[in-house]
Amino acid sequence: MAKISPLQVTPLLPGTNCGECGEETCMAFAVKLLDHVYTVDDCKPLVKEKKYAKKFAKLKEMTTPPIRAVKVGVGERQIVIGGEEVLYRHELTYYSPTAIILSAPDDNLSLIEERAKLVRDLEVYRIGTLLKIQGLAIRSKSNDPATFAKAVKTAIATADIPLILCSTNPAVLKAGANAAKGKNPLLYAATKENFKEVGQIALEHNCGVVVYSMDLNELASLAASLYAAGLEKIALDPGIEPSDGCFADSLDRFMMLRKAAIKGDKNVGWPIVTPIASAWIGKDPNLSEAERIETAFREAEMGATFIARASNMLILHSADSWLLLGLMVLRQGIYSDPRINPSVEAKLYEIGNPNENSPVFMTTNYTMTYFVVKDDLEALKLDAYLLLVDSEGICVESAIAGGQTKAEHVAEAIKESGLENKVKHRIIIIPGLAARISGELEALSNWKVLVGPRDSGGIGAFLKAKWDGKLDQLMQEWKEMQEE
Amino acid sequence: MENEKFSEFQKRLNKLLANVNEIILKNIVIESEELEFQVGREGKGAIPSQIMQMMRPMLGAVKPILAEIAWKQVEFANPADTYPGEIVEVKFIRSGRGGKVITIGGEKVPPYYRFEGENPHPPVVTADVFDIPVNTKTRPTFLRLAKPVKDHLLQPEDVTTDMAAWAKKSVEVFGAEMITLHFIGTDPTIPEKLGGKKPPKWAAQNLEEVLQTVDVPIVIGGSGNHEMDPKVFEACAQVGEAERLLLSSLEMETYEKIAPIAKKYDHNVLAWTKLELNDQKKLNSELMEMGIPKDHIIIDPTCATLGYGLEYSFSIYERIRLAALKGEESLQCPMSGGTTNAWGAREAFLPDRDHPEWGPRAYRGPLWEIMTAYVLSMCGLDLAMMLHPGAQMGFKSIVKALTTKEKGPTVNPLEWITMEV
Repeated sequence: MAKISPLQVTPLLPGTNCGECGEETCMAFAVKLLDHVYTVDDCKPLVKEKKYAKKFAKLKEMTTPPIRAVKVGVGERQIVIGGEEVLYRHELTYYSPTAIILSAPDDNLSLIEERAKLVRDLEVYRIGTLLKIQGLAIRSKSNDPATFAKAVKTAIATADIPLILCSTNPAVLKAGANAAKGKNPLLYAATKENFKEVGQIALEHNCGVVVYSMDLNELASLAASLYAAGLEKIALDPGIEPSDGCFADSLDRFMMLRKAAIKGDKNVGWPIVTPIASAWIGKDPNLSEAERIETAFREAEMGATFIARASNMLILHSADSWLLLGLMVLRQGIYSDPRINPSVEAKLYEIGNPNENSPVFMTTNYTMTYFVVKDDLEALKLDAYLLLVDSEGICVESAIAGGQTKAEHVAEAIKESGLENKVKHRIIIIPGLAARISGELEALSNWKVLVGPRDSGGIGAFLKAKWDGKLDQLMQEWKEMQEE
Repeated sequence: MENEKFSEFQKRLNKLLANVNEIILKNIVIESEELEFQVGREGKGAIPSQIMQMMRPMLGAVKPILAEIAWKQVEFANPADTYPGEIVEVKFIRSGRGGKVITIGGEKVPPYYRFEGENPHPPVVTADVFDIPVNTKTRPTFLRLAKPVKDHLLQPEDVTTDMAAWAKKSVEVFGAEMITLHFIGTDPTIPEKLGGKKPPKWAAQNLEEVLQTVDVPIVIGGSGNHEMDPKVFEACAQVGEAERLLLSSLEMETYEKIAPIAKKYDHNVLAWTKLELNDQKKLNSELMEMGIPKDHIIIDPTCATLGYGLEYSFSIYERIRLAALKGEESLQCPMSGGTTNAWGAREAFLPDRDHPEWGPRAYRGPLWEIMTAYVLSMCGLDLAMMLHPGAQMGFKSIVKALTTKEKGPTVNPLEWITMEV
């Protein structure tokens, strides 16, 4: 939709400005439609009234993104993969964050249960957002339909999460799809050998299917064949090999698919699924810890590759928390909207109900810095002042090194904030990463500077050691500073 | 009773339909969980695919038993683009016998886009060496390094009190291709007792020792102090006259003083801007106008860390590289980034006891630095300024996977479904 203008959309809307969508005018709806706030179906008259049928169809086609969106799972945890419109993040933004999927073999029910619980429960709170894992891939190591069905049932009994059912044996996939009736799983994978049978299962259960081939002609043909047969939920796997050189070929196939789709090749205009679990193919189950970590690092690097290139789904073998943390944090960044400024207003913020004896903290106005510090102060149930100094929206370390935040800026901010009328003391706590401006800041501001911890997580311990019950002593030091 | 009623209904329905060929249903809503259409699988009874396409909106909840799915052969066309622009090659040179030369840049297509063409040089790592001791147990210091980093430098013996020893270990043990000497101790605002206020002459002496100890190219890092940096660079440029050093860095406020030094002694410069593409264009153009050859300039648009703005760097690097390949001449230089910044992220340096749910710092720390460096290399980073030896190796390993011409073992990717682990 990047290249469509609201002027092209408006003639296809009813033009009655009925307001049913919540917007005052059809033009306003058009603008937000192109901004992904609405979908075409949100214009009720267009959907309902027969006279608009042609316009509806045309608008729907016009606004279908080059990478079509596919839903997996049901209910609250349902995910949408795809929907991307651009090759590069800065050209617009990426819309549907890469789904991170854990996996477990069907012959290990306790692991299925453990992983399903992990997917259900894992939450990492970061900068105002909860980071989560999206689903579970059950892989048919047994190649036995009954074993597979049992594993699928175990997962469903444990958690209501999106499932990816993995086998190339249609009998296994059929048993799995039956066990996951009504759960809208994603079938993995249809190949040139099994696509007729697997396609039937997908049609029968109205669920999505991943087509697989390392040959892109064959992959495009598989997708085209299933689409012609009536399937509307398709995803592509061009085969991910982990080893040197082979991984480069895998990334090439991935990028060719994505680029072709963005340029308009409808046959491959589907989400891409990247099972980076392939890093573990051929590994001994009893491999040494060192080798295990080395392989996990390779898997993490493969994961970073595909998140950075907007893959729609990663399927992992590892479930190590350090690895998941890294991938989730990378995803949070890459999928943040580049059109939004990363800074918050540089001013004095109140945490809790501060009074004239409350501590005063200073940091920079980079959004992430602000959220991290604010969350940490609130977690301590502190009453405090937090002074944000304008760093042009970058973090403390870079702002100090880069000169966006100098002692003079902080001194100025203290003056402008009116802090000198709000607190009785003249003590300011600055981030440990801003230590180098402390001397100059004391000279310019006439406040005593306490260098705080490098990380705001250490503020509690810091206050205990340096602040609590020491205000008089600190003010005495401040007075001595005046005399000097 | 129910069954009887139903069979009666069915009989009457059959009677009604006996002479009917076609039924048209109008304004009918069918509400059911399952609805089966019995149609033939092949031949006459099969639903043609055009009809299937038309029925698609209706069939949301319906499960049709279909005709056999047919193979539809289509062709996939390689979407490769061509690029009119090219990145210059920049060389870092060690003089004398056996002196190493490292070349970066020369790209013709975006990083790792082998389907569009071949780039001549993979990204290179330059390893950090600081001029301030880091062992907080032996003396107070301005520089606080994370424990996973210190573990490599303080064991079996502390190499951080001697830049040459630190550089030697980085090259010989950790395999560094280049060394960055950070003279942060020359910052006059850092107290002497914490390692600061060192004179430029002191930097030059250290450089001299390092040059005698290792044979890899050297980057000279200043303290960021605008008054002192030109003096430090001048002293080092002179001592390293026979080499081609990289002076790191100059910026809008300092280039007028530093560029002439680089020009006089034929060194490379690192042009640093703060996440602002237009500033970078301007700075590079100014440098070229002052007579610094394009192939002596490295761009540093600022490396923010994973979790703390990496995405802003990501998009700036990507925009710069794509603009350069599309022909923007002022940006056709290789790029660098201080990926060491990753260790400023709490997820990298906080000890395990603070966040047990994050997993061991021994892994998440290096992972943070690898990801920061690697993800930027996907957008055009050519020279990664790195700190942790394990992270350097990890970064080089994934870069090799994407740039080597020799292939490792091939596997059937589908085997992940059935693998034993």
